[in-house]
Amino acid sequence: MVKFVKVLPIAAKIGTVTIRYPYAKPIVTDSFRGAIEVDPSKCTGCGACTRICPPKALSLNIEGGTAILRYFVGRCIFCGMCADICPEKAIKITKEFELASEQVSDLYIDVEHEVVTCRKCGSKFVTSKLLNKVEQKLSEFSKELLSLCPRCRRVEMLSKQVYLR
Amino acid sequence: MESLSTDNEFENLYSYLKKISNRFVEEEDHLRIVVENEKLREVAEVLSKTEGVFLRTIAASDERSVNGFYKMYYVFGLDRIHRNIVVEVPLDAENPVIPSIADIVKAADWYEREAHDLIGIKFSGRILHRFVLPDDWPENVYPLRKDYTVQDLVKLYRPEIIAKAREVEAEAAIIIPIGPYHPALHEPEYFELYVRGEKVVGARYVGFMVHRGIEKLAESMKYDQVPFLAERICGICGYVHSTSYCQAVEKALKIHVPERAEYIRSIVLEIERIHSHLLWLGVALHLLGYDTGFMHVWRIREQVMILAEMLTGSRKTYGLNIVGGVRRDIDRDKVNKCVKVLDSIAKEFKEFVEIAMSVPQVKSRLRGTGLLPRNEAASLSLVGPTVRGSGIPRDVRRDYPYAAYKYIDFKPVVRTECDNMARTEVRVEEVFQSIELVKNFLDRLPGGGIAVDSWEPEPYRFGIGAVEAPRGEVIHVIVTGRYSPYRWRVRAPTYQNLPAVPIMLRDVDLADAPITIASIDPCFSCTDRALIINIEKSDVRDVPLVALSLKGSRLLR
Amino acid sequence: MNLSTLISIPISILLYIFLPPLLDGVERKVKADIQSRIGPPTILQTWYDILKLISKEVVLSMNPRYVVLTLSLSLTMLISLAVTISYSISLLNLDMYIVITVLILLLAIHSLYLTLYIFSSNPFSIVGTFRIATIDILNEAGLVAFAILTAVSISISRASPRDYLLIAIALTALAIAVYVSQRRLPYDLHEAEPELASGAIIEFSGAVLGFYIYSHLLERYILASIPMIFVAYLMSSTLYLNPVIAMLLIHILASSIYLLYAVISALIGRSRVNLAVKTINFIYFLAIAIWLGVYILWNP
Repeated sequence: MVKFVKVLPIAAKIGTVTIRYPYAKPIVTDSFRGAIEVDPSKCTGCGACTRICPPKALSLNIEGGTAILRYFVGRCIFCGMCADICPEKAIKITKEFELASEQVSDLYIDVEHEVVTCRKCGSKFVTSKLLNKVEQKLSEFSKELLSLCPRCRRVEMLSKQVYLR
Repeated sequence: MESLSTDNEFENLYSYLKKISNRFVEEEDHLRIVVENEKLREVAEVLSKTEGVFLRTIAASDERSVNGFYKMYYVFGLDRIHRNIVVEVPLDAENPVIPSIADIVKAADWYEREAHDLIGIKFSGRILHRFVLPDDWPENVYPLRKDYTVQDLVKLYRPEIIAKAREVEAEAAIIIPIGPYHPALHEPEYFELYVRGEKVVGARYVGFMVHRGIEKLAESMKYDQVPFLAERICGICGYVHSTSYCQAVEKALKIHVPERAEYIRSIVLEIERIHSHLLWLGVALHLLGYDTGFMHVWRIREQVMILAEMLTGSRKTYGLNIVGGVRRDIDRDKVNKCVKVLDSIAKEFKEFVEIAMSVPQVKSRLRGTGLLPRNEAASLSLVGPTVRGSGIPRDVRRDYPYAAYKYIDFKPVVRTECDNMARTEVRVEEVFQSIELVKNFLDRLPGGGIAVDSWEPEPYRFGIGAVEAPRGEVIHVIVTGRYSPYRWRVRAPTYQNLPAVPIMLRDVDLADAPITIASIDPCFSCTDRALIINIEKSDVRDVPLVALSLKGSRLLR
Repeated sequence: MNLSTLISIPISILLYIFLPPLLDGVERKVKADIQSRIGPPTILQTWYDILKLISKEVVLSMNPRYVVLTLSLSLTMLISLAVTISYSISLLNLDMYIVITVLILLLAIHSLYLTLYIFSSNPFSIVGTFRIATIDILNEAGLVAFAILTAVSISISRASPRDYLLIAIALTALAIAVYVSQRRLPYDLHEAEPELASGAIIEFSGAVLGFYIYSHLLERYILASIPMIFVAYLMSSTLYLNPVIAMLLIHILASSIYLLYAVISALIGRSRVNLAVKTINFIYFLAIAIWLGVYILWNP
């Protein structure tokens, strides 16, 4: 009838299970996915991560003479899709999750890239790092064409063909 | 012999349907049949009169840009033969009117109201008012129509409450301290209970306070991004939504998921059920005032959460599913750890649940309260532990086997007492059942890949994906688009179960109302999937309880 | 009146004033242990809470006359109750007049609380008020009856084991009545179901809430000490007790029973008002029946 008293020996056996968080470290397993870290030396600014990111926490914008890969941790859902998709393996998943801050600017992490200017129209179209990478891969491709923005390149190609004919 | 006769019964149904319309498609899991507007009521009548047919979901879709019609999809489930009948009704693009079937199929009530509100389908035979959308939503703007993008809608509607707050300069007002004690609500829910003394004589639910426009949002996202959105429909059982979504897409596009991925999905689904049921039991004990039980149940649950983090990378089982498989594998080491932890949970939980159920107040307040008669449960097509506590063995895992449940024999847990205790017992037993299932799946985990290498989307395919969530059946209906879902319809279990709450609250003591409402394990965020903001519109002064109490206090003054 | 009596009275009053929030701090720690939690950082936490609340600004949602008047009146009466009991235990003098004074003061405090609840500006809290009124009316009858029964049992000659049994029965029943009076689980119905109805204190905040909590804890402790006065009086009749020691003994005993109550309330769930009425009725009638049965049938 007084079976419910049996909770006392259980409590005595188990002891205390809570921790003095945030003074004690939280328990996070090895598998935990937290915020990401972009390695600026590996990142080429291709923007693959910005296209897969479900909550649009990553964005790539060209501002002035630089391309900025912006990571807004406030939107990040820790899914790690960016790390899966990154062709350069430049994104590392950390175990960080205590990211609150009094300054909203602390939540933005930028990776800046130099941008190449189209030699014909002067528009800025791709990061120089990505262009170098493409150059290495397509060594037989004309360097002349690579330094053109997609629009000018198309015009150039067409006019070349017309000329040949 | 009985099964033979029921097969015959459905045979008749099939031949009847094929006579009604010659435009039908037979697929592996469903028969899709195009029915003319004027024949819908007749078809609904026949379906609702057939024993063993349940309404699973209704999806309204704006397909004017595809075929010039609005379309209604009525999904009826034939649980016993594991198949669906999808009744498709095309509606005129200029004037989409369809006869209401809510008087024939009781469970269709909410679906019709929602279709009216969000797509602007008119139902002849019933007058409908605002249901999901807030009162100050602009007239004749139907958010799920393709005329509007999410950005358009955000521009179109600004909740009045923000303007009002500016008007009274809310920022400049004095700060009123609330607490340390304050009546925190668990979720934005609003029930009006009509009370006489301490007895509840009636109840009304006002919902959709946190409609987030998720279905609309998904139409602008890529296939592989939607699972992460789907997971966020629910904060407790997110994995069931991403699984449902992925299964619907996989069915529609005929993608064959590797067997290992199916097993991993089932394992995580069961882990999620264990944690959800333990969470529920803790909250239920808290509602019964037994906080020590609450703490200990959640202490046991914590081990499940750590397990979930180990398997998926997130305590909340988020981020594992993609269309065509899963993202993380389970290695030998993790299998062993899982089995060890599950064994210890089973032992601890068994020991503790006996103690909790021996507490006199827990026993006396669960037994005989919140009665939900079997026939009412059946007529509302209820799902999950709610329906299983009323003696009806409905369970998607058995009725429409998916993932790894296809490879095993499964028997749902059923209780026939129809009260809060019955629903509690169903959940408690399902915890043990789930532990056994996970161990079984881990044991039989086949080799091979965990996701298909690649797949190509094909527009305008139809697919149904259903999963037995901890709260009952989750069902997603999808019409595929080129890069994103064209129409994605989510139906969470609470959506189906909430209409049963007023029935269960009849003649309950006021003190038992919270546990009775909780006994369906309601998840309001799931139910309210889809608006941007809703203001609390109900004036509390309308509640008879107030009138009663004012009268009481006036007497004493 | 000798010196030790003179010392023991103010010490006892001070104990009454400072001990209750401390005991509540211990109770919270004990409950946390039973629930495998760390709990509040120190046993002083309730004191800190009360002091912090009292230092906050006063916001009143109802007519301040009712709140301030009833709250200050009940607090005054509680303190005078503490003084009366301290005076009586230091003299180890248990005459009927003091018992009756204590009881009348207790009932008056409870009615003041009810007044406070009834004038709440929250129309929903009336549900909680009716619940507590139901339980209080029933339980106060029990409390008075068992206090008098205990006093009567003690005043019987105590010649045979039967008389000790009678005292034990009456004291046990009194302890149960005190437990219910303390508004612990399963009978904390006035503040139950905060989602639906809740009670009047939902409207209190800041200093008012601080004073309410303090007076509630003080009342709890005074209630817990009542059965212990009888126990100490019994002991003093067989062996000589120095007034200071007797006073300290009573406080130690009261604290222990207070913590025993805390443990019990951690082990069970919350009742429902109609269920509670049935249970309380059953227990009290059973206790009276047993007492009478023993008194009449067992003739030494």
